[in-house]
Amino acid sequence: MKIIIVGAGELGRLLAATLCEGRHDVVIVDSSDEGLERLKDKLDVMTVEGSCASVATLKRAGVADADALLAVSGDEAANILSCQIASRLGVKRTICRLYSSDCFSEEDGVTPEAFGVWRVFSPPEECVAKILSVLESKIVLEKIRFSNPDALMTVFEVTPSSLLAGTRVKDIPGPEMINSIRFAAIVRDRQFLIPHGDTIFIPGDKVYVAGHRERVSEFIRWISPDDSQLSRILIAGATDTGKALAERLCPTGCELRFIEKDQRKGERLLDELPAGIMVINGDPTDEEVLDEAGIDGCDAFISAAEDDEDNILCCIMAKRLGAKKVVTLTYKPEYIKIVPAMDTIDCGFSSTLVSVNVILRMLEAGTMRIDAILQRFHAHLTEFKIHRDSPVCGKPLSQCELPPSAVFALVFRDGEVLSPSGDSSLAPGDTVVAIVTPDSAQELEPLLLKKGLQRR
Amino acid sequence: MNSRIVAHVVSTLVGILGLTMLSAIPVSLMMGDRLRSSGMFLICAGIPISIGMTLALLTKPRPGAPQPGMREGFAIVVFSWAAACVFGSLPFILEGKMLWYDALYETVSGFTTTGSSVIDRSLRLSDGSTLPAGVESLSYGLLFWRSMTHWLGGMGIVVLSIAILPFLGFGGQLMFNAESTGVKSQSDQITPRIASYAKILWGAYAVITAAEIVLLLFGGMPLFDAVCHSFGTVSTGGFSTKEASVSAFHSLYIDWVFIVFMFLGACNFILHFRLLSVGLNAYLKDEEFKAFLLLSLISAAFASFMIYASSLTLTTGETLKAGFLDAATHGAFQAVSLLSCTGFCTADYNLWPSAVGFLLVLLMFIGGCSGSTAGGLKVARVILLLKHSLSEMRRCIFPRSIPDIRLNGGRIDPSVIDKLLAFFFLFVGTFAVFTLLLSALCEMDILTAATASIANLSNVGPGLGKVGAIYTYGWMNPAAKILLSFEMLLGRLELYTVIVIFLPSFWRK
Repeated sequence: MKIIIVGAGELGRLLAATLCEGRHDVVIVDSSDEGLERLKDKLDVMTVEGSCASVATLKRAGVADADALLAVSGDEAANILSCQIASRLGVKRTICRLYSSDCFSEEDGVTPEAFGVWRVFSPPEECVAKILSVLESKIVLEKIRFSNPDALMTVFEVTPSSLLAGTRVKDIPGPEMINSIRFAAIVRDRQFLIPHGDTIFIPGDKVYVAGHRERVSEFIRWISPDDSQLSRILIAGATDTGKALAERLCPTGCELRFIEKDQRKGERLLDELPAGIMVINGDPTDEEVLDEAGIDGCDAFISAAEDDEDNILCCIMAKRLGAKKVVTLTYKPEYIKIVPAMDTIDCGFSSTLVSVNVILRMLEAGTMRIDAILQRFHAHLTEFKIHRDSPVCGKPLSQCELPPSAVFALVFRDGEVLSPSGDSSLAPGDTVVAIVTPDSAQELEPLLLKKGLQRR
Repeated sequence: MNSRIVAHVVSTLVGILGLTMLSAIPVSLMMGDRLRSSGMFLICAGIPISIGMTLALLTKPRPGAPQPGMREGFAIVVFSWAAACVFGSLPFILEGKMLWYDALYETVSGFTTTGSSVIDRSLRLSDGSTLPAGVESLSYGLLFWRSMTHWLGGMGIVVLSIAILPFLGFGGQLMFNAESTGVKSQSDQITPRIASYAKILWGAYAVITAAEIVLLLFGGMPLFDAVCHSFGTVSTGGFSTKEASVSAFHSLYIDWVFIVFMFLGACNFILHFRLLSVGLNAYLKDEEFKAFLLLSLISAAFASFMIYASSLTLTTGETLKAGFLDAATHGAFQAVSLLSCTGFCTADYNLWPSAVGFLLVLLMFIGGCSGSTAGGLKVARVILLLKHSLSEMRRCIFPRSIPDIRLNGGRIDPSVIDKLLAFFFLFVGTFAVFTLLLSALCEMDILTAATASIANLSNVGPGLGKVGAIYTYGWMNPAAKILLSFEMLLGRLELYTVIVIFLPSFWRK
């Protein structure tokens, strides 16, 4: 599949690297050649320098036979224009990055389709959705979605007071609940374990559980029934993401407080948001400022400022000063890999990584493979479509020679979500979600034929 | 300062003023005034028309002259008002034979929609005679002109000019802001051009006035009185054609029509216009309107409750035992009249319990809504001051928090709050200084001096004590009358516009 990426920023580069790894043909277009040169040295991609919104540039990038165009530059208007040109030149799937959701309006008939845009996404909105999903429950650290909208993987932490602490997997009561979900992985002391029946949950474990959306939610409710409503949430940084988060949290009636260094940005935030939000003007890495904002006992602290280092630092401070749950946002995807190393930060999201996952999921919705990049340990979640000739087809899984570190978390069959166990066997046309580490990838690939691999 | 353009605009306005003065002639003729007095209006109108037109032609801006700026805007508004007051007093001097300072006071009171009068039975005219029946001895033409000054001044003579004169389109925004009242919010501007905005305001104003005329006619009021009183109500002025003011008509229906229209006159006229497009929601979604309505209801209820079952003296001199309906009508009338800065009276509230008297004085300070014809601090300013105080209290606990003061959901810029605090200080300061000057220049008790000062600053009209409902300002000496004339003008143009003219830096480059 040939994919054109417009914009070689942080997001564009990570997308290029990810898609390249998935053996797609990637062409990357940007108006300045600085980033492009380095990219060309690093990745097997084609680079084109020129205006992103010009027909000539896109033609040079080979738009005529491209399957998809991802407009992810920092300029909203240019992104829309690139998509429009590409769609006129015959590209079916054009994905456009926006900063806000008010560019288009369904009611007024100003739809993305009218501009030749197939799908839109805005990184702040996607981050907000991620953050909101972990605010729902105290123990949930992350929620991951798949091409099948009914499927869900949730990461939660085993707390000392949890029902699960000290319990073996097979001792969990309620077979109907346990059989419909799958414990896919446990991260313990920064090590990745594959749980089996005799594995004992110990406090501090971060558990990946996958299954049908409702079954997983039921399970989370069962182990953490005393989830009270959020009453006070602190957000550091009056950024687009902070603002989008506040817009979603406002109607829930919880008390929102912002901490923002820049007085002007704080005032602009107040201008744009409805009444009832307090903005504290100060440095979120300053203890006095955090104290004044009421950090002690707040239900959640979310650092969404522009500076990655500040975000990580103030989260560590917030946790020490008594915030119940701290969530950090970073821009650079590299930083998210060090967040799990810091026990004080509960959840961390990289807006770039979140965006890459969203785009991969969008591309997949049709026929391709999906890669979600796991943030807690070095692994991918990959969806494979089982081919008729695959050696694992038709045999119970326990008899297949699978690499020891490979886990099948979910199976989608005819739109249904199944939890695979040792006895289940795979049928042609099934989609398997596997946790793939760099070691197991080499061994898995011959067993499962990725559809994306079938080069034309 | 581009004085040529200022002179041009001001003299054009004087000319227009002269033209409006002509409207008194047909009224005068129809109502059967003596021909001499109708003819006198021709002279009175002729002077401003000829002077205005000549000067306007002489000062016609040269092509390529620089656009008027901030200073010119302020100067045009202040000098237009000054000129209107001077030329508008001509009928009182020439036709009414009043002394110049009496005539000036009456005219300023008219244009600023104060509605306090110097005309009573004991007023000395220039030929030494007095008026045997007070206001009712004036000719119909003069009475009409007296009410007309209210109507012209209510929405603003400069706004009127912006609406009807296309050439004022330049810098119109500046002049509009200098003349209109209260706190402006962004959503108030509903047309891109200030001229069409001014047309809308005057349109709403004229429609409401016409509605009141019709309703008063239903109540059996003669057409002439209905027109004059409607001019005085919607503009929240308060000049009556009767000695006994509104209670001369002896009708509860008429009293309530007045209460409703005084209230409407003190609302933001843009809300009245929005009624057409948005419906009643226009009012219900407006914070200032809701506060104003609440304030009116509470103060009306309080006043009615305090006078219930007591003996009531009407401005006609009759006394009656206040039953439920009378107490409610007269309590509400006085409260709305003083809150809306109109100043019509039906009962002598000097005799009421002192708590009601004090409440009425407080209401005078507050006044009506932004963008209305009323005076005072304006409800929006009071709301914002209150919110600012609360916000500062909260900042004692959260010293780093950014103030978030809102009106109708929109955040108010801190610079607006700063200006507001300064305005509040100037307002209270002006009130205090004029109280002091007034009692120094003219022998009067402190209650009279203080309430006269606030009644003129807020463009209300009657105060307490010797300027109460059944008194006029006729007994004051010339110095006090001139002082109060200036104070009314200060209040109408909301202090800043007038005061900047006196700053040395205003005149320097």
